[in-house]
Amino acid sequence: MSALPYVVGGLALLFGLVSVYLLLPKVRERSAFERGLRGVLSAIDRNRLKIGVPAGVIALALAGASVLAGDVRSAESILFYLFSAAAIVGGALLITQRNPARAAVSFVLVVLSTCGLFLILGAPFIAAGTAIIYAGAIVVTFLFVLMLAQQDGPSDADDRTREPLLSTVAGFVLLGGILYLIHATFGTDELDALVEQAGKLEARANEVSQESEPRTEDLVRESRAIHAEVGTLKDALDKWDGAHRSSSLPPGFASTPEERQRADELMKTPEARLRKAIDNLGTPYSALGGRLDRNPSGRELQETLTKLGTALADVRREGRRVRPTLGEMSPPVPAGELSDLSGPPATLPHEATPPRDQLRVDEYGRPPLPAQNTEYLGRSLFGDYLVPVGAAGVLLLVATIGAVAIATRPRDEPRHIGRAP
Amino acid sequence: MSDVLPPPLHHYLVVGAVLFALGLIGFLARRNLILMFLSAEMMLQGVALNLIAFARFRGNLEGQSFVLFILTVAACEAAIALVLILTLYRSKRSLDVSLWQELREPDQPPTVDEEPLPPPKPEPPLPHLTPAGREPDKQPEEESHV
Repeated sequence: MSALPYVVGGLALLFGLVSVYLLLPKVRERSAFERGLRGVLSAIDRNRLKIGVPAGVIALALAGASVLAGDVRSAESILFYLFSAAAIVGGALLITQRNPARAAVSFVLVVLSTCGLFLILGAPFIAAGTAIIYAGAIVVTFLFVLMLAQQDGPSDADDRTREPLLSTVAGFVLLGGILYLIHATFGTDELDALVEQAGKLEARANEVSQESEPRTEDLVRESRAIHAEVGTLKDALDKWDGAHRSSSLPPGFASTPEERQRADELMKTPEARLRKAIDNLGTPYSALGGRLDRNPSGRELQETLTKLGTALADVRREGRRVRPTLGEMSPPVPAGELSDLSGPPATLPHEATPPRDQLRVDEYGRPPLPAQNTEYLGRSLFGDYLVPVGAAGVLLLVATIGAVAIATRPRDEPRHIGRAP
Repeated sequence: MSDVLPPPLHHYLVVGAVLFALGLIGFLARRNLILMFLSAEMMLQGVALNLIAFARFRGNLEGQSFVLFILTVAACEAAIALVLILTLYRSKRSLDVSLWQELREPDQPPTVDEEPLPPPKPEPPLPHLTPAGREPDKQPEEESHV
């Protein structure tokens, strides 16, 4: 298990912590911790912005580098990274701005970026609703209250921070814990190592099989070496595959092994394709072994090595594509427990809910969401969640009445402005 | 590498976690009541992102229904919180939360600012004009309705 993602992630967290701590507004206050390191820290203190902002940029760059790994060329990926960066930068600006009106505008940036992410995730109604309610109603109300309450601009309250070090450390310790948990659940280190090894062996096999004037002894020696390594790789892949058989199918689907096998044949999930690629590796492998035993010519060896290279390329490709679908968190749900009102497949008429074994997944293992998002959301809300909708309506009514009741002040107590009371 | 993969589920979960943690830091660290509340709203946005990501990757709209309820509750919370902030503002004429030291636990020392603010910058020398005309009659005390 390589420690590199942990190191890069840890560095990103550290730079983020330093950046947020330096950027939180302060008025030359020094805690005992800072008094101890007076020399270095007075220099840092004078240049808070100059150090804090580049540290934040480095944190973002490190976080991006630990995630990118070259898979950025689809529109979904590019939009995801753009919106995520905008959301995180907006969040950092919100908590470190001195001026509360500017912080409210940064909050609008955060909300619009998360709306973009909702759009990518197939939730157009929620995206529109969030933009209207949050960025439209709530932020405008905040700005009005700010306008009434702070007519002289930023006040004493905005220049100071309560416990900057402790709060920043608390936030980043929580973030580190959550990120570690996500990595432990969704991390695919073993599979990545095997896939990388398959890639290297494929490169070697292709190189050897395309040599123009090979000497047979060298060819035989290389082939034996490749054969042995492919043998170990195949055993490791079989072992990995045996240990990870269950979790990539949509919920409520194929809970028994027979159903799962039929699903593999029907639906071509990424895991099924990887399994088939691993099985297909056996044929050229044993063919190579057979040929090596029978004292072959150079040309025959090169042909077999080419086939072996193709099979290894398949394994590598399917191994990369299966990575997003792995994760231990989908619990095995028996068929029928999830409501049909909330989850039909796209492009089918409303009345027909197909039986569960005909549910499609796309080539990355994700089940499709209905294209008519608003209609199915309505069906889900008023079919499955009718009582919560009613309760939410009552809550809104009570909140309105409560707000009016708290805000009303008795008529005979006006405040005086312009004169001491 | 010829194959391009869309972002997997845990990338979205990481972004949600970062928004949540940043909102937590803002809530704990800032003294302006409105900024504290905006940070709490940002935490809710992180949670909403998590739910929508799970809905996408399970092919089910229940996560999106949950987010609609979160939106409703957030709107109610915003209304009530702003009214409470206004009430607090009326008493102390400031949005600073550390002026409410009397609400602390009885065995805790009060939080005191160690250093005073720097003196405000002197106003730029603007030209003074001699007043022309006469001052208007004193009005009866004006009432503020804030």
